Amino acid sequence: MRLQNNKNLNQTKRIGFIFDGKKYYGYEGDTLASALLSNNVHLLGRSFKYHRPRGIISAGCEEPNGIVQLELNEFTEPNRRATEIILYEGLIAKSQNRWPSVKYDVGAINDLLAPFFPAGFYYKTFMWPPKFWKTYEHFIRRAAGLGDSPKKDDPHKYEHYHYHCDTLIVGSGVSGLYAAKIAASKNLKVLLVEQEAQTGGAILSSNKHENKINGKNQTEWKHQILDELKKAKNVKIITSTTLFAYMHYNYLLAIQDLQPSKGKDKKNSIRQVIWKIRAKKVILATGSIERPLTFNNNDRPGIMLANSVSKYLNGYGVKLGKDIVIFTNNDSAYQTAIDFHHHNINIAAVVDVRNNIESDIPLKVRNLGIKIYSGSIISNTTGRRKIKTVHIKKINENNVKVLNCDLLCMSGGWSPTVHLFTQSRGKLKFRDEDSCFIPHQAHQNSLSIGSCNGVFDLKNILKETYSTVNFFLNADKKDSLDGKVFESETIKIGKQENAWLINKKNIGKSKMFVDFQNDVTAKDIKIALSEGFQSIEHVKRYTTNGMATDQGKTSNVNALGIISELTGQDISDLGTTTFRLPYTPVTFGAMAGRFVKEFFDIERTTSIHSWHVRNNALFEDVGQWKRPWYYPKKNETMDEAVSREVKATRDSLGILDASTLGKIDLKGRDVSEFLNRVYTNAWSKLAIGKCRYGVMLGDDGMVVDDGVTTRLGEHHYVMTTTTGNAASVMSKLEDWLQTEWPELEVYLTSVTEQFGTISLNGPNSRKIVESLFPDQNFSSESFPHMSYKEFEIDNVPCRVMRISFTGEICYEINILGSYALSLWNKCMDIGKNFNITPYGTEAMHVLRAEKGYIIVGQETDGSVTPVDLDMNWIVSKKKYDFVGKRALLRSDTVKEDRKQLVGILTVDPSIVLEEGSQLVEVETSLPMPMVGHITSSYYSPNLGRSIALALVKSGTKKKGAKLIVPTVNKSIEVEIANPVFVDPGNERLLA
Amino acid sequence: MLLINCPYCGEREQEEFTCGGEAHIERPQNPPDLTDDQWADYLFLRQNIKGLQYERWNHAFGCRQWFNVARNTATDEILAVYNMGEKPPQLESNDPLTPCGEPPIGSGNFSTSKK
Amino acid sequence: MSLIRNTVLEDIKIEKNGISIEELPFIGKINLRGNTQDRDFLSNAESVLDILIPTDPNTKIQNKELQVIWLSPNEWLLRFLNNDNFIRIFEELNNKLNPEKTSITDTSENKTIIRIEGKHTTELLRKFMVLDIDNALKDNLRVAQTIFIKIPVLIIRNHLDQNKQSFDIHVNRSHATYLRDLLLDGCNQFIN
Repeated sequence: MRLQNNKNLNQTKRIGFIFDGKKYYGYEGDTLASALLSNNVHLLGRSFKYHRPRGIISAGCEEPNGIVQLELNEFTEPNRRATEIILYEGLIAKSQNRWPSVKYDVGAINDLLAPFFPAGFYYKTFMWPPKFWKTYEHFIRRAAGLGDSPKKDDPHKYEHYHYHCDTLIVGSGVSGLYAAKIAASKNLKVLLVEQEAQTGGAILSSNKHENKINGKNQTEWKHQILDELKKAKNVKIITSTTLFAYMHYNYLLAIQDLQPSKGKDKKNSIRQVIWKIRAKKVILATGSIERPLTFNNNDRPGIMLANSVSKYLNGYGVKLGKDIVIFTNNDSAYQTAIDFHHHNINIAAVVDVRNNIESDIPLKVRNLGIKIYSGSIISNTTGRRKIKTVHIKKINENNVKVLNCDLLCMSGGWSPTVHLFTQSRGKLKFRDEDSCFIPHQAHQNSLSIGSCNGVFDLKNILKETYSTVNFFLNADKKDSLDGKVFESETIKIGKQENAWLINKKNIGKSKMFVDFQNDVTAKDIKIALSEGFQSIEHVKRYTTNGMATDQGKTSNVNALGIISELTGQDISDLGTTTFRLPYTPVTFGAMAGRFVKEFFDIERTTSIHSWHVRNNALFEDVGQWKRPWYYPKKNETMDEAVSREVKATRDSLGILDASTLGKIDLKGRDVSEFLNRVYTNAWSKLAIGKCRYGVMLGDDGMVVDDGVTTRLGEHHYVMTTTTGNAASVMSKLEDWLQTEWPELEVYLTSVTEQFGTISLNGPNSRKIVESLFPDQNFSSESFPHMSYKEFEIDNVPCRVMRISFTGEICYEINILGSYALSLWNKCMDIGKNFNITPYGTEAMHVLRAEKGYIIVGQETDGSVTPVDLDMNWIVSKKKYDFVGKRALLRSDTVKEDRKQLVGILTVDPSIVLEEGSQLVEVETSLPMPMVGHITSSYYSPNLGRSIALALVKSGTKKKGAKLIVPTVNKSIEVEIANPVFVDPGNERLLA
Repeated sequence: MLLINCPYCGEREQEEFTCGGEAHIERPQNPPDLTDDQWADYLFLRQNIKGLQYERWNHAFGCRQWFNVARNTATDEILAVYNMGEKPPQLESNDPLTPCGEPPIGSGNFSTSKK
Repeated sequence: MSLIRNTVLEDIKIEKNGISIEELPFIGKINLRGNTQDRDFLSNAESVLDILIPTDPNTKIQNKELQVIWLSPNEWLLRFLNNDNFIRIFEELNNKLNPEKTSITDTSENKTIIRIEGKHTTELLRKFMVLDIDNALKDNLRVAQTIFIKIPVLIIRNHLDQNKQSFDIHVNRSHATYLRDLLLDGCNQFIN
């Protein structure tokens, strides 16, 4: 039932929504929970294990029961807390974990079978025999499900947003708002984050007539402060934003929930934003969470946390009952009685476990004529779909008084919300007098204020906030006090009394729920302890207490209390379980942000990319690069296309976009000495205008990169690296120069993208360059293999190198990136007469394998030396030192039976081996001793048969030997061969 | 995510940096004269300290400069940043009190046995 | 058939939701390296360029013709604002500076420059950049080398007036299309 004239709602604006197929109405400003409760919908779902009827118990993110499936189809989200969903027109939600309906649920049979579902049930029952797990799994998964995960792509957008500020304030209750005001007056850049749609925190649930601040009621005070903050340019306030992670160096993550848009914008609108916040100082004003009491049948719909009931009443104008009973162990719940009294609603009884109740608020309740049962407990409740009666009895007496009621408000004390504080590695201490963990020692530059710091009364909150925030924010530690002083009257508060287990004797026969979402009872905890689990972390895992989606916000401290009571140990000795991030669940969509579909990974494209796309290239990812893989013509398979490209290149002319190779410009006095140190071969005598191939090792002697370096001038070289290693080689070279050899006068500059690189390969490649540069002589005498010249086309300079990765005559032309596409087109035009054929990375691989050229990262894997690659010729014996030299003499690297590079030919020439296949000498029973593996394998159209490269133990000495490649269906016979299959005499290359 | 104070660029996010492992390991001047063990010592053996460790970091996506960092690997506190070639500063760090380096309360790594 | 020049992006300028994203034409750029302890290097370079070389990290000094941008303690980007004197200066630097101790490299096309302007520019950049923009680029003397998601970029603040925001992002030409498309996606909606 709804009260009129609630200030937090816009009661002129009615909002229609659908829950479990039925249409209801709420008002603007409602949450789904408040709207459902105002429509008398209490039963929201079935519990996880026993399928007991459950209703909403709280009004915030701690809610364990009120979780729903929001929206349908591609927009659906499971496990959303109804207490956090802001109502909007057309909202559709349904209850979860019930079949066929929430009122008649088949799984409820589990409740009757409860004795068979104790703690550790799943562990004990479904472990053996292991192979039966497949049978169990299907049923367990179905029974254990919460909501349904979405089956379709989420059409919403998600955003990440980086934000830096001087002061981050988490929570906008009294202390948070006050701190923001103080920080604002110090001219700091302030970010105030509030998890609910409205600012105010506890102000929203407090009675408007009590607890004035400087004579104003709290709501008026809030609006005054908010108006000031909104005017300040240095303050930003975001609501519906939950801070869920607090990491190193004040790096925090928050998730902002935005209202779903309507109509045509719905699909691409931003649904959630993850704020990535780096704050100089953090003020935690996260408040506290009320604890339930643990008594028999404490989980019926209509049994709720007392303060949450007040919030529904004061904040949303929802009257939750007519006959109300309050059950408490502390003073705070009495405020709920006063709140209802203000609205002339009858409180049937307050049941208080304490005997002496003399403090201010309880006295006020007594004076209102409300019946108080002191030293009493509620021993049981009845009511299937909603609470009907409570059984009240004096502690240690047996007489039970049965009272009818439709709402039971409970309060077991308060737990400060220290989750973020402990995530930040702050240390807690346990305060016995009201049984709560409070911040003790901060690890980072942060401050806890208000009730998350264990300060619960308004007067002290105001006083401490003023002094501690001022001190915390003063950079110079001067005692300058900013911000207005706010005060409130003194209220005498009574001591709380621990009541972890109500009616402990009865624990074995009762259903006293501790964790409502995971259906863990006090009895389960007792079983875990009696089975020998001692550490709180073990008890948690065995019982699953606190492991549901609410992460035990209402149950963790109660579980500790129960363990303490059952074992007689102090809670401070038990410690707590870890408060893990995220504080509340975060969707995968939000984590992925914009980086899905076409933005899934960074893409790099060359200057010629648009040509490749227009000419139907398929692309291969090489690092971040999109490189043409092959260019299929109509109806061509991949094998056909690659064979055509390979054959055309050997027969006439192939053209490759080689722009992705890394290029590093080296200048300075000591470049040749530097090259001597980082490459295995000698560089001192390289003439200007000549190119040389080099292999780079790590200091462990293993190949890390290879490429051609060209000497352009006396003190000027340009190095090429493999596509994938361009950045890491550059970084390693800088490392050597900066840290080991600062005496060398060498400067490096990356010029990878200054140039587009076009590689012309094949016997007719000379015809093209002769046509491009008509005045030049390209004969092998004047422009031999491994040399370099600079020419011009239309006044654009071109660096031309005669080097080869195919074994054919090849000219690589480097031209300014913006001309590369135009030059490519020109080559294609001139090349028409020579069947010019663009080829991709696959044909490139085949061509180089035919010639026995290695690819770093394919023939090598970080465990291969140049000697293993049969490349002794490139390892200088004369140089005293180079990177990797010493390691080539280690006992392991000189072993003769290391894996060495060889060619492999299958006896049946039509079989193309799988790359990665293992090689064995003889077939034995498993495991077979293997002697090597295939690193590259292709069909060679030029040889008309398959070829492969492999690393084989002592391979270089075993040419001609037979090996076997065992596969699932058959064993393939192969022979070790020379790895150079085409043109071993280099006649074609040097022609 | 660390916030690292680059000697040139000031405080920047960890994402802009790469870590180069333990600092103050000099490449020997005379590799051919070293035994396999001595070479392995330079090449492979690292202290991997839990607590105060001196490390090399590179502002890879910024000014590309290498520098040294003194970091408590258990708490991730950065205690000092200093240039290449400088001697490590003498520092004291709060070494972890518990096996996994976390505070005794708020971590759960306390068993129910008495202290 | 003579050679023609192509820009990196197929649409050079796009405006969306109050933001303009434009690829600037390629104008001369030189990567200059040398030791500031070497007095000859600084004085010769400054005399050829007729401008001071900044030694404060992440700053730039500019005149009508040229921006000199600090990249590292021994590295600067000379970004020409027009091509009138580029070749002359490139040659003069090569003539005047000691080739054993310096590096003068034409990097005109190594990176392209994308200019972003409009009311929500800072908000747009915050969606992708971890840099503390308000601090690192607090005035128009500042530059920063940083990352745009994981793409290395050099970002330069052009504007004096916060109400006329303008930034130049220098990015590898290979990354430019992806970066621009991501920026455009980010322009769809501004919420903060």
